[in-house]
Amino acid sequence: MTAPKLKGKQTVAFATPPVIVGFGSVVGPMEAQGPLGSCFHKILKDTLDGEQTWEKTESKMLKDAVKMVIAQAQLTDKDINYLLAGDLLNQIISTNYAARDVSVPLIGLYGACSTMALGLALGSMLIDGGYGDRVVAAASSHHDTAERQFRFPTELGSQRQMYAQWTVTGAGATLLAKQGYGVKVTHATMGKIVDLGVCDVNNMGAAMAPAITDTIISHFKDLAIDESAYDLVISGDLGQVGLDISKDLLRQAGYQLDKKFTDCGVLIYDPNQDTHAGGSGCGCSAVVINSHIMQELLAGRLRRVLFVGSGALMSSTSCAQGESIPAIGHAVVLEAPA
Amino acid sequence: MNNDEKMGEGQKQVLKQAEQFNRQQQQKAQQSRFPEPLQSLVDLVGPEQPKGQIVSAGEPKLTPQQYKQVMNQHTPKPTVVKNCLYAFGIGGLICAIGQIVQNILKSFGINGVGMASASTIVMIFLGAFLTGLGVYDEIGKRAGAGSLVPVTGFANSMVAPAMEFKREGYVYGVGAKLFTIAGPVLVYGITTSFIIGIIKFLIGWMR
Repeated sequence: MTAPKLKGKQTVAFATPPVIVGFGSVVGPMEAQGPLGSCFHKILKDTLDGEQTWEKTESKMLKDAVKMVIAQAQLTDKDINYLLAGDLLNQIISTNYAARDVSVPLIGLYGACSTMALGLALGSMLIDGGYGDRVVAAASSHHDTAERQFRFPTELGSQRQMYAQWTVTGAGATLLAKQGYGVKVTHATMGKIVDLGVCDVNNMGAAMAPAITDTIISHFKDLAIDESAYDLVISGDLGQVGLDISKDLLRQAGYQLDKKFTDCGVLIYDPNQDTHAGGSGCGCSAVVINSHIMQELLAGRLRRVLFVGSGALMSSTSCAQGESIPAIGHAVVLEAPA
Repeated sequence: MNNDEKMGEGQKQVLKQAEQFNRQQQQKAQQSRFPEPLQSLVDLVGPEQPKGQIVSAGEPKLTPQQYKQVMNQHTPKPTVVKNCLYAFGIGGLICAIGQIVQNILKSFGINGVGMASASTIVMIFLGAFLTGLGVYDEIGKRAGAGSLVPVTGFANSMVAPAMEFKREGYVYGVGAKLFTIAGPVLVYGITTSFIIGIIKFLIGWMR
């Protein structure tokens, strides 16, 4: 007998969809100057925000975002059953250090930029499965910590490609509960690793586009629906290049998503901010989903949103050894309150 | 049983708080600036209910070679001409500044090897100083090789890691990582000069 909540190969449908009863976003100054600046909940005054290192700042942002959503619901740490969080740094240190000051059982995640979607999917499974009543899902990234780990020292005068993406400085958190009033998580589709041989670490959008496309198509097939089921499909940071490729691949597969397919990395920055292909990093989708998209869903301007988080799961070692980039996409369906 | 009742109260509290919070967020959304992509999207699509049609579309089966073609179609090409002009202009400007420094030194009566060394020192100082001020990476972003090839670029490649890795300490941070960028240049620069030296020696010996 198959699992009753599993639909098709990769998709789960929640029997009692978990409700998002709180969400919060913390961003750096550059993100605050972007088009979504007014939607965010807390803005840092600079990229260090009074800390000694950027790693400490990232950790503090994540902690602030988690504390923020717990406080908004007027709950305390002991009311939360699990914290599902992750970031980009080696051994997910931002998460582990942030969780020192949050006395909630931690499940550390690494899904690169897909961490927020992964956290929402797993958190919803925990709640619908009856393993917890309230779960916080969170993710963070910091431009400067990511630069020094994956690329070059921040002050080095190097030239970035036109298709390169800019790691977002930000952290977002979502509080999922068994019941309440708010946006519902109705379905989740867990992605497979797709690797079509892209080796260029600066072209992460192109590396991730096939994985995202695969997850979107699998989701449609598993539920026997098509693009008309959604007001918006939003990917968690393909950037402009990856978004164009993904649209093209979906068109080839017979889905006309052009007008209702956008990307967190494209929305977060203004083209004048010179980020080239847009934003990336765990924090990118975490802050866009936990501010603008949730607000639009609550305001009723969007009814059903398919959020697909995309992760490029390489390391600087694997790339230096000439390995191509394995990519993944995890999807969750967000539905406006009735 | 008692536990269940307590949870029920907790849930009611969450329900009330969440409603209050989410209402605030609704207001916030109404006040917020609405970005272009979504504006046009909502105009076009509207908040309609899902239809849930059955699809019969095929999954794209792509080989890495086929995908490379699709990828190249959408990947923006580097702006070669513009980049070359920037590199030429800014690289030339850095060299002109170097020449000005040399001429000034000459007017002070410093000549020959002394003049070359002193002007190099001045240029290295300028490169390091601008890196410290956070200006050199902005120049490098536009100029590319124009600011990389002159000796100021070498100064940048040494000072940037020094600044970056100071937080990991002076031994395992600065000490160990100072040459992460300049190291390859030194390794292959020295190796090449060594090979050329041998060739020169062999040519001289054969004559």
